[in-house]
Amino acid sequence: MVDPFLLEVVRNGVYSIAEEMGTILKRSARSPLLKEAGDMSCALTDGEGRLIAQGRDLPIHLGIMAFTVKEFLKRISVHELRQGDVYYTNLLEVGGNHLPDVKVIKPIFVDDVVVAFAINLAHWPDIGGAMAGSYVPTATDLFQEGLQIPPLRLFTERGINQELLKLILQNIRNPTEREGDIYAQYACVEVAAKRLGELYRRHGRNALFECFNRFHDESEILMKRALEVLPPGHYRGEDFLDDDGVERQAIRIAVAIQVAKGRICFDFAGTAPECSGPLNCTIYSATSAVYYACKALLGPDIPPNEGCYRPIDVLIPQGSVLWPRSPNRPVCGNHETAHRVVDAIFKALAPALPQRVVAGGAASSGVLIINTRDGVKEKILFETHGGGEGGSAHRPGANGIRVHLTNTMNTPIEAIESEYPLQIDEYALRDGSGGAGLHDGGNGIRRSYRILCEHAEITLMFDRCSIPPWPLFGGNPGANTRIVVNPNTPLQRMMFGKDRIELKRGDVIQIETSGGAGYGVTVGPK
Amino acid sequence: MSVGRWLVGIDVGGTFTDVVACEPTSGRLVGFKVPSHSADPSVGFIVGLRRLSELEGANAETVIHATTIGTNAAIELRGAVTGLVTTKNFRDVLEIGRSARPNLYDLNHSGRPIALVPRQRRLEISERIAHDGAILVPLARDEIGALVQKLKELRVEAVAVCLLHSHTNQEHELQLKQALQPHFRYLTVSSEISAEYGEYERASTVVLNAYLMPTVANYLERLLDGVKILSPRSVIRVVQSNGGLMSVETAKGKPLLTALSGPAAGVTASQRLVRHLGLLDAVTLDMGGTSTDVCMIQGAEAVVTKERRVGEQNVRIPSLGIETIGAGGGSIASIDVVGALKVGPRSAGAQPGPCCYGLGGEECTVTDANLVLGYLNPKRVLGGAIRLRPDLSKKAITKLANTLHVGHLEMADGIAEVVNANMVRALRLVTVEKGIDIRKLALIAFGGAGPIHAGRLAQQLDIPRVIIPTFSSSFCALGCIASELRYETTQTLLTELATAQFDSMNSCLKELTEKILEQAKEDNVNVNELAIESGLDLRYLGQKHELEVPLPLHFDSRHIPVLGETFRTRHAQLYSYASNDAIQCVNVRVRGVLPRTEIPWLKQVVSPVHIPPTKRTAYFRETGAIQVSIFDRGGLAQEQQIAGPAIVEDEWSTVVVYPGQTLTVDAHGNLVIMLERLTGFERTVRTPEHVRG
Repeated sequence: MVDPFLLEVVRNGVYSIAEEMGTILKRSARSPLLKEAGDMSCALTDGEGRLIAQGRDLPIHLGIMAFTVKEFLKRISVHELRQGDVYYTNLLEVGGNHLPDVKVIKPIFVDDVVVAFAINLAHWPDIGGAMAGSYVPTATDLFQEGLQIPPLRLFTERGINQELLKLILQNIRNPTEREGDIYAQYACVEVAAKRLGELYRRHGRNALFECFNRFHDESEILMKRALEVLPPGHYRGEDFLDDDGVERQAIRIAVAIQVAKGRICFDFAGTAPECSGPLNCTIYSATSAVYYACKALLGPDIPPNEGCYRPIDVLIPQGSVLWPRSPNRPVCGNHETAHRVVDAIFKALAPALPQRVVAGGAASSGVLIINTRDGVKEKILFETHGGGEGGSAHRPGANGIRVHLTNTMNTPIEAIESEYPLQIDEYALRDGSGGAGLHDGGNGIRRSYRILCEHAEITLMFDRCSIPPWPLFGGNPGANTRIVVNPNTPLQRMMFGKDRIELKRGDVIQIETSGGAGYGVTVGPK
Repeated sequence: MSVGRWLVGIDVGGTFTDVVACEPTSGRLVGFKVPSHSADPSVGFIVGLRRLSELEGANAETVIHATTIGTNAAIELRGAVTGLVTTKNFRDVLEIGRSARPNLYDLNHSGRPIALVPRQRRLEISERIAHDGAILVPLARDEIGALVQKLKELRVEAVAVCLLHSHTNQEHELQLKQALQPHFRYLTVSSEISAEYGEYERASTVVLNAYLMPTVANYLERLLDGVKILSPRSVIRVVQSNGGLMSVETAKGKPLLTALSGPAAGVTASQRLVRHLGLLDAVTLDMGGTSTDVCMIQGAEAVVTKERRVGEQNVRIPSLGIETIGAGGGSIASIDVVGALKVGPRSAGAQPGPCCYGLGGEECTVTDANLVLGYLNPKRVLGGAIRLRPDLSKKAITKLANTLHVGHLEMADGIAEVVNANMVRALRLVTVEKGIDIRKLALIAFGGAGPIHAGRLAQQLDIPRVIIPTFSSSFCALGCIASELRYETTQTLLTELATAQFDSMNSCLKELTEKILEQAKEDNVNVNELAIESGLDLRYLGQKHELEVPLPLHFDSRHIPVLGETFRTRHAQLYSYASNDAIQCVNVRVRGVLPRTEIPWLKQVVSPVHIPPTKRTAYFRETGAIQVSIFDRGGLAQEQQIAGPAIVEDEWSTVVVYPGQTLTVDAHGNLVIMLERLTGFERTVRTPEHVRG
């Protein structure tokens, strides 16, 4: 029996460490994508890689990291690990999602035994490959998307391995900024190790071990209890991606959900086969989307850890877009696919949970990459865009917000203009983009970027450009995302969601994100 | 009739207004309470001042005020009809914010700030300034007429202005201010309240400032009118959220700075106490009627933050790192649908107040529980006005107890237990959750209800020592007179440290210093007494967050390596690494502080009047209902030891010593509670010479 007071102390302790990790990473990082947008996440696992605590970061990352350390331990034996080691990896097989998300893992030792791991994930604005920003909308294999880093011991007790560092930096763009980020990721796990070490010294290994087990058991019980709101039975849902960037045709995500007492199973049979373009998922990011949907719909307050996910089974057919069979399929846009996994689940469970579900919204990471170039000077802006949220039983959808899996922040206009040769001409809510309903969907946003340098390469990774956010119970769909170069001029050009273009000084690219869909039938005049 | 140079602190609370006054030359120190007037808090303030002149035959030289008027308006959303003017095409920045959700999995977005200015009152003007301050589009003066008309049509009372890049070039904001000033009494521009980059954060800050302006300004004007009649020569100061003082004029223009006025005063008093006792680390607990404030003091300095939430809004103001929870003596206990006991966040407030006030309250509060448990004196008459009614408390508690099928004493104990759990969480938030070892701390408990609960909290949290200071029930008022007048100015100066120009740095320092001196002169302060210090915010080129290092007031080439080394050392401490990468200067800061003459409360020698203890029945979980000794707080002798369970009380405060605890009285009248197993351990404190201050 664990002392209930100690349990609370340890619970608060590990969660505060996970949150402090995020603060340290953001505060010491160099690239705007980390320091402003917060495209990073932190977590702690026990010695076997089971998630025990996570920061308030991005749901998609957090679900993925539930696997990363476990997969890491299949490749690096625990006996090889030494005090002071810090590993870097972005390999898809090691609990990965796409190459720019680099995970840093530090084993934490007490009395020469590995008792826990600190892990963080940071999205590097560039990891090499065919195009600046490492998003290649037309990629047909993984090598075009950048450098693959198998678990690499970049730091040891003696400090950083300069040769390995040089190898990495040689293969990516903006090496100076990236070097700063590499150190920031290191600082983050170092602090975690220090804090967790203090917790161990104070309470002892056994006590903490028992506490962690208890956390898992508690969350498992809570999730099982939360499942009771769902009547046992079968539920089906599907949703579609616009296209994969290479072949212009919709991609189906299908889910069959079976609810039994204390268990829930998600079967993705019927989902489209692996695709040619970069919209393939890894099993980790697909599963992460399932975990998010379960938590948001059933138990938002359940402490997220290994136990929380024990009652959840996920069946993914190999060879599908959620788990490609052929090696080296491109994956940079995997998050768009993961968003659709959430949509399909919400649609499936809507009849059972009409009071809880939210109609479809701007569920896209909304990635815009601008590689600005003046002579030899190059700088990459990586920006994500929110949109309208769907309406729900109790209220209209929010305007201009991040929906579901992602939760990155926008980069302040004043920061963009100080750091890049760009000017923002407009940042506003997009009137009329939310679908009508008993409760309307929220409005998307409009943001226009003006190029102030000689040359700029633009990469887009958006979805919801041809298939709009889905309504519920008689509401209207939200407006599609619309991306235009030089709007309202003779040079106007409509862009695809997954697309690229080269612009020059004075050109403008305008992003209009989708609105949320309406919930319920509109009553009376609006 | 004025005798001596009285310094008066006034803290207006929901039920009572606390007054603490001191005359430094004679060392005389008095404190009392008068009833608050809920409709107009300035009434209590004036009544308090009048009482002082009646008691001491003295008028105040300086009156220092802690007010919650702005905070309450922000929390209850009772501010002005506010309009916002932004750069054309950017009016929605306020609503979009940073576009992230506060809670990852919460589909209801609880806690997401709502835009205080709805879309129709967000207006735009053509103008554009670049990031380097260059004017790209001049301010469209011809649009101002229509803008004014529109704002008037919308019945806007207060106007906030936030233009892009105004932190780099104020010109357009100032031009607009000048043009709008004749039409709007309440007007505030972003660069004057927060001169830092980040258009959303600046907009959100300036909007809340505007929103609070009429409420706070009206209140302060009523106050000044009253003071003028009573004591025309008194100077009035207001406590700011960072613990410093400001003039009434400043407070009227920047009401947002009063957001934590009262709580900051309490922390300032605690900080003084900590230094005086030679301690380093402590955590404060200020438990009042509706809320409780906690703050961590580390190395004898209160933790400071730059960004915080006020109400639900994100703002950038310098403030002490105080966390507030909605639980206090007036918190209402109820039983929810699944049969669980909840305490708060609803509060009976001052009106109707707890049941025992007999003012019509029918829902059981924490104070009622404390009365039923025998902790509060049932014969107590608060301020000669409110006669406690234990029968009403018992009735309300019995009702709850019957629902849960328990005895009324167990019920009362359960209510205390639940509210204590809330306090424990708040205390943890600023200590354990920040990685601070709570076993080395002292808990400084004050406010009406703090000393009742502190002993129990210390037990649950493993805090070895609780200090209940003299004047514990009016500690924030005491903090007012312990606060220092403080000015701070900042200028952004982006340059690499290695190539920093001495001329521009020095002229910046000079300009900022002059600004401070000017403000001080306006406030009739003797500038020769101001202590000036400066700092430089540094970061590695490309980072977002800076670290402040001390900067000499005159800067030359010798200082560059020193500043760099100081930065690297601090960076390594915080982030485990430091490199020889380029370091960037971001902000130059200059502060001016008017040191406060020593307040005699710390040196007060207590000469007790011996009053024999009495007996009363009280309930403790460990013992059940038993007879305990009740000591009069004024009758305790120095070094006297009281073993728990026992109660120490006076007219305004109640201190509960729980079973297993011992209370002692220090030389200055502070009460110290130690956990039994720790008595004799850590009792000796270091002498004051070890600490600065």
